[in-house]
Amino acid sequence: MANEPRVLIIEDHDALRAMLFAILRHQPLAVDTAATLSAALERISTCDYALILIDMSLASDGAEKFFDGFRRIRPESTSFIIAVRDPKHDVFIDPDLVSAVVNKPLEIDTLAEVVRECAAVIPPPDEPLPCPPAESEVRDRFDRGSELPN
Amino acid sequence: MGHDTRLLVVHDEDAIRALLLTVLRRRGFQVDTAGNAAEAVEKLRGGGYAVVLLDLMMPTAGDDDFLEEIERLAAAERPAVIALTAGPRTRYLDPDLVAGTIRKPFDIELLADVVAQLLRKGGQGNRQWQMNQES
Repeated sequence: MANEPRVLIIEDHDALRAMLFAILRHQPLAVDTAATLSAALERISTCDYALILIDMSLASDGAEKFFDGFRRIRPESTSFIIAVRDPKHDVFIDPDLVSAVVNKPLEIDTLAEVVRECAAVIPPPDEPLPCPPAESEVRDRFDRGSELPN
Repeated sequence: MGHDTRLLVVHDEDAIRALLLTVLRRRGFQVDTAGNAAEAVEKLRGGGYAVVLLDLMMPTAGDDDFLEEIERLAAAERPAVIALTAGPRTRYLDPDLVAGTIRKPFDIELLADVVAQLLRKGGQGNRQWQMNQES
């Protein structure tokens, strides 16, 4: 578990976040989620992520503010960032940070494979942060009946 | 159902290559990749590519070497080249060599659709590609 690429899902829509988590936790990935801007910034302060999946429709310009925070908190990060967007809404997506865009409604199997394959080739940082166990790992333990999730 | 044709992805970033390879394979395309211009030229010389996705930001001006190699091919045997670009930098690209550009961040759906359209045209007009499909 510890060596699996770590992935962060930033999504404030509960059902979508739960769906993405359910899909990605069954990939060989360690998966965390953040439902708010502040939770997302807290996550990137404490963990190195190979890949970040962020919904551009976060409330109150949350995605834009996240990118500002990301630049400040992790200026040297090599995280591969994929933006999820509603194609009906035209939003600026910073090409310096975001590598790819996927449109809603999400093509789930393609997204799962893209996240898995891209995260797998991102080199881990030389001095990784001491992250707490990933949400997916805690959930796995809970499912096996050995631990209650926080 | 596959589109039964080949394309080459040339990019020096592992994750971008993985992204494009995954998306395009899922659409049923036959995809090869190259991580630098030298590898790309070698694969191009093997022939049979209808479309090339070429990173224009590779270090050591590798994209220029690759485009020169394309120029040496007879017009009918040249693959359609889509240049992958980033940032506001613009530069002159010979329209005889480059069919179009796609800017980062890559909309993977749009990119796959563009490739699909080009492969349909390549299938009708690219003699080299047709020969390879028959063999």
